[in-house]
Amino acid sequence: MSILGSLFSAALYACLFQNLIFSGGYGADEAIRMAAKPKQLFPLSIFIVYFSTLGSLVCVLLEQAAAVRALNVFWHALIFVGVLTGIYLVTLLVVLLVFRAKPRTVRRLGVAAFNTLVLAVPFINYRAAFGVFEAIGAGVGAGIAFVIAVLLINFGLRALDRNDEIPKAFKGTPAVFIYVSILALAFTGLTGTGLGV
Amino acid sequence: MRKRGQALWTGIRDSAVVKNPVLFEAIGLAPVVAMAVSLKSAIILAVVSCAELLVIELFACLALKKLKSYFRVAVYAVLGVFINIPIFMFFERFTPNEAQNVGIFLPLLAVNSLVALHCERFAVKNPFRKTVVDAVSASAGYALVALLVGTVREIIGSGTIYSVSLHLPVQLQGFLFPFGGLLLLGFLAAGIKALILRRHPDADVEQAFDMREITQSHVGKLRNLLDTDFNPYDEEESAPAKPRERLKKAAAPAKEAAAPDDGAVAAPTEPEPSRRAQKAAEKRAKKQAKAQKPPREKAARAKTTRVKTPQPPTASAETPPRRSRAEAEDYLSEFDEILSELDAYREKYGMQNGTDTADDAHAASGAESTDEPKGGEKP
Repeated sequence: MSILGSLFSAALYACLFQNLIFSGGYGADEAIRMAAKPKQLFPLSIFIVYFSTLGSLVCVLLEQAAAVRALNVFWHALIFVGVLTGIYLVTLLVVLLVFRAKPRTVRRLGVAAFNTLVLAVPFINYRAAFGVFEAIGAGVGAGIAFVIAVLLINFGLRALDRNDEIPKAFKGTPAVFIYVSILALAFTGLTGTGLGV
Repeated sequence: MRKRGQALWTGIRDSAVVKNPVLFEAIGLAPVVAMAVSLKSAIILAVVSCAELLVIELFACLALKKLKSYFRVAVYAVLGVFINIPIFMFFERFTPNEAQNVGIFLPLLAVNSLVALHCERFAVKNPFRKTVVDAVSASAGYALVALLVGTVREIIGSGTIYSVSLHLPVQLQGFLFPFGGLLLLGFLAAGIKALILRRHPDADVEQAFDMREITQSHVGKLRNLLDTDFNPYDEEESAPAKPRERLKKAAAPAKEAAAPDDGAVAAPTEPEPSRRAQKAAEKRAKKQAKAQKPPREKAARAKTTRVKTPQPPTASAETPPRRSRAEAEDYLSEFDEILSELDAYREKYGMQNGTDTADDAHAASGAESTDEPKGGEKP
């Protein structure tokens, strides 16, 4: 029960109370650009969940070693990127050789594996001293956070696209940034941090 | 000389301002939004990003052009960490507090999308000199935006500039959160866009959002979703051919066989296969012909709708098929999809059966991607 509890609490933390994209800013550019291509959402999200969960799990298992835990943040960065690269290469080989994936699927793998959101999860685990199940929860939560962010931004983009009253200078990227900032403000409210106004 | 200078200036202006990576392409947002909360941290961000972009883009241009794109992406990440470590050590030694403040964002710069996208879109497709211009101007544009955002956020959020108090009566600490950064970026982008539009009313400033796909549905069968095209790095060469192009490609050998004299007009795009390759292709064709099952429903439908489709590569031994079996299967499934889409289109719009050929099929598939009704429902 406590295992499930820690898994779900970490997932909720990553996707809702401390939404990694809106409250943390991780993977914001991928989410915004992906929101303009909604057909890509689910294939990419599946890969992101896969990489964030597996990367998070492998990294937290490595953290169990005292020698690794004692290293400073940059050695951790090197290890985390190394782990992600290893997972990416193994997945790539499996996808290419076993499933004979098309180039478009392979391209998604690269974008899903190497982004700030996926790399941030092992760092958050390391900073928060998460255990194995919390790490899995954080990985899954990061993927769900990505889906939530892309869907919310996509709905906003549709409304912005229909709106003809937006001044020409604000049309497109500026309006999207402002819309995403309002969403981020809303999610920041969930963190319980005061804005100090 | 003057022309060359003007071209250089135009290139720098385009990459740094008109196609600013952060403001108009929405690339590398995360570090700017989360890390640039003060001038000092913005300086660290700018230095690291510039160093990374310059070194990796030039390296990609010189050494990684022959590597497959999916391996290159991993190389960028690993190189990024190795570039980050010495710079971080430098900052840690001389400004330990600021290096501590940037926290985990500095290591995250190793996978900054700015690097991967610029390398894949530009460095591996262009000569060295052009790559240098792009790397310098893009990193300058990125650094300028980071510094501007960092300075404004520090003034508004902390009431200081470079840690010197300005004694402002009001401080809006909310601006130190990511939403503050996004808000500032929005107004900054609008301001620069207004300036560009005032000087060049017809200028096309927008880069990040191709709004045509926004209304497409995000729901669908996973297999179909995986089949939708995805090309974040604008890979023209390796991009798979569209169905219509595939049909054309498949039809080309048959046409050539029918009218060999025309060969002189259209330059062949692929080299003549060697005798060994021809033999291998013939073998493959025979194997495939054996493996082919009795005609499926959809294939039968293809005949009834009088779609003049080219024979699959298995058919002709004279024109040896160059595509592999997997590609041939891919082609067949793609063709089946086009047919089913054509049927759906006909049912929806009450078109008569057998009106036209593959062009209609393509029109139907094209209609699905471009003329969908707003709201995301497929016809």
